[in-house]
Amino acid sequence: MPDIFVAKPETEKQKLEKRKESLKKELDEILAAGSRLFSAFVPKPRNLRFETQEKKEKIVLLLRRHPITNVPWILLVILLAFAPFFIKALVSLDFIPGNYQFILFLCWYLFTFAFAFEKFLTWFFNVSILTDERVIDIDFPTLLYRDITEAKIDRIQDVNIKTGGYVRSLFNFGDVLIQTAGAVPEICFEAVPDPQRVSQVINQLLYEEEQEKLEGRVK
Amino acid sequence: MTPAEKFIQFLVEAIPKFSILSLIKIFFVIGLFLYLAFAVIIIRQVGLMGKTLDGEFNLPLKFIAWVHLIISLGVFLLAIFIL
Repeated sequence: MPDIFVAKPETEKQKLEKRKESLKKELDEILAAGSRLFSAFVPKPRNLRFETQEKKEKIVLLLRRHPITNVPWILLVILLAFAPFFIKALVSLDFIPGNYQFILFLCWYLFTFAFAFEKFLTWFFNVSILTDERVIDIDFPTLLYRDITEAKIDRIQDVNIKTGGYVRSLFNFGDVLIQTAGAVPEICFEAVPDPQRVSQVINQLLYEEEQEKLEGRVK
Repeated sequence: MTPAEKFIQFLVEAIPKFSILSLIKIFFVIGLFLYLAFAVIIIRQVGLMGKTLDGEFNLPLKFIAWVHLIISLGVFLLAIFIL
């Protein structure tokens, strides 16, 4: 029986285009949810650039430590803020002259503020970034010292997720360990939210990179 | 009276005039001066962090760091004058 309609076989280029489209769709789905500014999981952040970013390089995902990791120092700051009132209620400070008490009070709040500000800065700027070309981990371990680790996406060999413990399970955060074939053998995204989704994004980026290699348009 | 004896007598006479509160004031002033240096370092740090990761929130952070430095300077001067 003769065929009424015979579909043209898909060319290699069309197949690649289709695959590329589906990859883009999958990545968009994974990155669909997410908020801005003070969020720890920021997909495709707007108005944000990092120092070594290249002109055509796009940030796919920005990660910080899960906000729950800030709870211990926030509690400490609250305790420090109320401490002078407790001390005044419990101990008589009449033996200290008024002007000395006043300066002591100001110094106490200056130190408390500096401590809180430092902690916030450390949380806000210690970020892990996934771009369409690289993975970057930016750390500020101490004052005026920074540590930037990066690896090309195509150098990634393995991605491991480390979760466990009550708090981590409850709030769904953990470490993402990325083994690379580069100069730095391992990059660690510490205590990031939704590590499963992060791993998925890295895998999608890896597929995309492989796809680009197949098409011969590697940057 | 030998020079050593003279020196000891000078110390014995001078120490009561030098009250414990004056010593505390010196500690306060030195401490606040070091804190002032720390406040300057915070400004440098915010600058370095902002250069590394340039976003919308950098300007308010720089503003906070500068306000912190001004307040630190105010407390330092206050300590010199009112203590």
